[in-house]
Amino acid sequence: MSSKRRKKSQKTGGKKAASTDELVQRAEAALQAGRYRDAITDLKRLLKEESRPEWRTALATAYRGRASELADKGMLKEALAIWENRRQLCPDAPGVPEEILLLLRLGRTRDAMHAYRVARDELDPAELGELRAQVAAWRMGSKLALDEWLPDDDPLVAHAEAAETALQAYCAGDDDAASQAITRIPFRSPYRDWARVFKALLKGAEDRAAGADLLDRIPSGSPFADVAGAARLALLPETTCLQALVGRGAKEQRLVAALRGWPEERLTVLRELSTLRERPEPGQLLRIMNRHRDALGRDWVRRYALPLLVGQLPKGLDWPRQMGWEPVTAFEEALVLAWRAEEKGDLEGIFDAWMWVIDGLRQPSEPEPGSDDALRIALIQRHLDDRWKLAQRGWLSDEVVEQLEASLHYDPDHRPTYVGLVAHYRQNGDLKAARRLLQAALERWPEDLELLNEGVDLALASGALKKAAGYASRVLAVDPINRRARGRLVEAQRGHAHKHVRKGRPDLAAKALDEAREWVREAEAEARIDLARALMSLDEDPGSSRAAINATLERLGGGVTARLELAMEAVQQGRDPRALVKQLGHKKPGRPGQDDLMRLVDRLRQRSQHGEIPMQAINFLESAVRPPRGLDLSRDQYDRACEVLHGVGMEQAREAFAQAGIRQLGRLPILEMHRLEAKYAGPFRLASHNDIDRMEEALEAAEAAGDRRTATRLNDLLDRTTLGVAPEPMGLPALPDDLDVPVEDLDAETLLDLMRQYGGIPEELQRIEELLGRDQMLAILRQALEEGGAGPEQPKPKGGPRGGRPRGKKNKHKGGAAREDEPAGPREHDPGQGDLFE
Amino acid sequence: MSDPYLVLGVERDADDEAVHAAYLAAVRDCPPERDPERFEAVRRAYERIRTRRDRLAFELFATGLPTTWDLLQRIGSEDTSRRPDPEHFRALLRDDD
Repeated sequence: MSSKRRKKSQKTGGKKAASTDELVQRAEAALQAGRYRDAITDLKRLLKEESRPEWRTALATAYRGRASELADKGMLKEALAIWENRRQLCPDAPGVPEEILLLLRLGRTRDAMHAYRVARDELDPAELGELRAQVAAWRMGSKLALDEWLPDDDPLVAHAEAAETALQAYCAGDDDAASQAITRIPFRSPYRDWARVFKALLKGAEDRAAGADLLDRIPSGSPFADVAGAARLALLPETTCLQALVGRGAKEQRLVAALRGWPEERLTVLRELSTLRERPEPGQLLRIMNRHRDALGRDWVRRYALPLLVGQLPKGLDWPRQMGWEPVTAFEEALVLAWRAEEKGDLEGIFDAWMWVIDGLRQPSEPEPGSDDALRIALIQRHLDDRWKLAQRGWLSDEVVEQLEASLHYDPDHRPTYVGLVAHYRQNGDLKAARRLLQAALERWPEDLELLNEGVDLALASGALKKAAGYASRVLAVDPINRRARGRLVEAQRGHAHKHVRKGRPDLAAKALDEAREWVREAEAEARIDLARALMSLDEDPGSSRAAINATLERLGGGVTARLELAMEAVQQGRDPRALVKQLGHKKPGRPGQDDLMRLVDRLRQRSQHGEIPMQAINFLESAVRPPRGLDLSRDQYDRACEVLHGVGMEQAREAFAQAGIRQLGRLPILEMHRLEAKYAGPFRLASHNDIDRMEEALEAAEAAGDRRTATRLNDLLDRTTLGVAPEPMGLPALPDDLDVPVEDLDAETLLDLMRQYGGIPEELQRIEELLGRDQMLAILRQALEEGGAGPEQPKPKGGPRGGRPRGKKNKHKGGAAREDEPAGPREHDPGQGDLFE
Repeated sequence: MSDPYLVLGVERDADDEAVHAAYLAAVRDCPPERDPERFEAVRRAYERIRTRRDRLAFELFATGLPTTWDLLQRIGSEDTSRRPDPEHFRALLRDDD
C-alpha cells in the first residue's frame, strides 16, 4: 500500500472511530459555525447508521447553507447540484426561496415555477411573502411571463401588469399613468416596495423630503432595497448627489445615473475624478479634461486649461502643444502671466502684466470704443484701480489714474468711473480735472443724482458756494426728499456764513444762516446753525451767548462729539478753539465713555467725507480722544474706528485704539496693522526689531487667514519702515581701532566723515540719501546709533560677519525663494551676515 | 468654481436678454424657499455674467479651476426631466448589463 493510501485509510479509520454521539455533537457544532460542508459529511454518516427525521432536517439545513454559500460566490451550477442532493436526500424538506431564485437565475423557469408552486403550499405566510417579493424583483428585472406558469389569482401575476405599467409610464415621463398604476398595487402585493420606489421618485421631484420618507419605509432586506438606495441618492441635489456617488459601487452609480438621466460618459468622468485627491495636480486634471475634450467642448476645455498653467510656468505654456492642441496664443500667454502676477500679489508685477495684456488687445489696431476688445481694455484698467484701492498704495497711483481715465475712451458709458475719478481728483486737489470730468459726465447723465451730488461736493471744495447751491437745487428737483443734497446745501450756506464772519460781515453771515435754516430738516443740522449764530454773537453778548452755546452743545450730543462741533465751528469762524473753550469756561474733558467715543467716530466719518474738518480742530481734539478703560468693541468696530481716525489724521488716537483692541482681542493682524501703521505714520523712520517681528507675525497670520487687505498694507509698511528689501551688508570701511571715542558714541555726521575717510560711504546709505535726502539719511543713521542693539557695531574688517537678525528671516511675503524659472526678485538677506542696522 | 454659464444653462455667447431669461427660468425652477442652496448658486451665477461687461470680466479675471460639477455638467447637462430607458434600467436591476 502506498503511503498516500495508507494516510487516507488512517484518516478514514480515524473518523470511523467517532461514536454516534461524537458525530452528532460535531455536526451540530459545524452547522452552528456555518461549516456546512463538514456538517453535511457528518450528517450523511449518521443517516447511514439510522434514518432519524431530526438528522434529515439538519441535513436539509446544511444543504441550504452550502448552496447559498456557493451561489453567493457565483458558483451557480455547483449550488444547483447541492439543491438537487437536498431534494434527493431530504425529499420532505420544504422548498425555499433561494433554490427557486437560483433556478430562475439559471434560466430553469419550469423547475423554478414548479418549486414555487410546491413552496406556496408549504411555506408559512411570512416566508411565502419574502419568496414572492424575491420572484417579483426577478420579474421586474427579467420581464418574465409569469402568467404562463402561474394562475391569474397569484399576486405575482395579478399585480405584475400594474408594476410593469408603473415602470414604463415613469420611464416615458407619463407621471399620471405611473401614479395610477401605483395605486393598483395593494399594500400586501409582492410589488409593494417597487411601487414605493416609483411613488418616491414622483413625489421627490416636488418634495425631496417626502420622497426620501417613502424610501425609508423600504426595509434593508427587501429585494428592492438596491433600487430604493439608488433612488434615495437620485433625489439628492446635484452637488450632494455627486459627492455621495463618489466611492459607491458601480451598480449603484449606474442605477443613480439612469434615474437622473445622465449619459454614460458622465459616470466615466466622475469615476476618473474620484480617483484624484482633493487638490489634484494640474496635470492630472488637464489630462482628464483632454481625454474628454470632445464631450466637454474644446473651447471650454481650452479656457479652463489656462488657469491650470499658472502654477506650471514656464513649462506649462507648452502643455497645450504637447497634447496636440493649438499652441498658446500671445494673448493667452499674457493672460496667464497676469494671473500669475495676481497670485504673487506684487502690485508692480500685476500692473506690468496687465499692461502687456492691454498691449496685446491693442494689436493689430486700436479697438473701436465700445467693442469687446475696447471693453476688455477698460475692464483691465478699472481692475488695476481696484487693486490699488484695495492695497491703498499711493506712489503708483498717477499711472493707475491715467489708466482709469484712459478707460473712459474705451468704455465711455461707464458712469461709476466718472464718479470715482471726479472724487479722486477732488480729494487730491486737482479741481480742474475734476470739473472737466464732471462736466463730461453730466452731459451724458444730466439728472444723475450721484454726479450732481459730486457736483455739490466739488463746488464746495472749490469754495464756489453758489454753484454748490445750484447743484443741490438740481438734486432736489430730481429727488425732493434727498437728505444728502439738502444737508450739503445747508453746509454750503453755513460755509457762506463762515466766509462772511471771517470778512467781518456778520450781517451777511446771519443772512446766509437764515437761508440755511430754510433748507434744514434735521435737528443736528439745526443745532449746528444755532451754534454758529451763538458763537457769532459771543463777543457782543457773552452771557446769553455762552448759555446758548452750552445748550446747543448738549443738543449736539455733548461730550467729545460736541467738542468736535465746537472746535470746527470756532476754526471756521476764524477763532482759536483753545482760546474759545477758555473763554467759555469749559474744563479739560475727562476720558470719554464708549458711547461718546463711538458717536465721535461716526461724526468724524460723516464730516471728513467732504473734507470739512480743519486740521486745527483735529489738533485741538486729538488729546481728548483716548479709549476708555474696559473698551468693549468687536474687531470690525475697532477696524472702522481706526480707519476713521487714520482718515482724519489722528494717528496717536488710532494707535491708542488699536492698542486697546489688542488688549481686548489679542494680537489680531488687523489691529497690529493699525497700531504699527499709526506708530510709523509721518516722516520716515526705521522700525524697531520688535516691531518688525510683530509686523512679520501679523503678516503671516493675515496671509494664513486670507486677509489680503491687511497683508498688503503690512507688506507696504514693512517696505516703508525697512526700505523695501533687507538692507544688504554694507561693507563698512574698516575704521581705525584707536579712535578717541567708541563708534556708538560718535554723532552721525562724524561717523559719515570717518567712513568717507576710511573707504567710502556704504552704498546702502548712499541709496537712502538718494531716495530720501541727506537729512533723512542722517536721521536714520542717528536713529540706528541711538537704538541699543540696533546701532552700528564697531566696524569689522570688510566682508566680515556682523551678526544680528535682518528683516526677511521670517518674512515670506515676497513669495519665498525665487523659482529657477523666473528672474530673482528682491534679494533676501543672507542670515549669516548682518547690516548696519542690526 | 462653478461655471455661471453652466449654472444658468446658457451659451457663452448669450446676450443680456438670454442671460436674464435663463436666470428667471432658473429661479422659477428653484425658488429660495424650496431650494435655497441652488437658488443662491443661480443668483451668484447671474451676478457674474449679467451684463456684457460682466461676461468679459469673467473671461479676463476668473481663474478658478473647474469643479467636478462643472465637468459633469458639460458632459450632457443634466436634464431632470429625462427618464431612464426601461430596458437599460431593467438590465441594471439584473446587474448583467
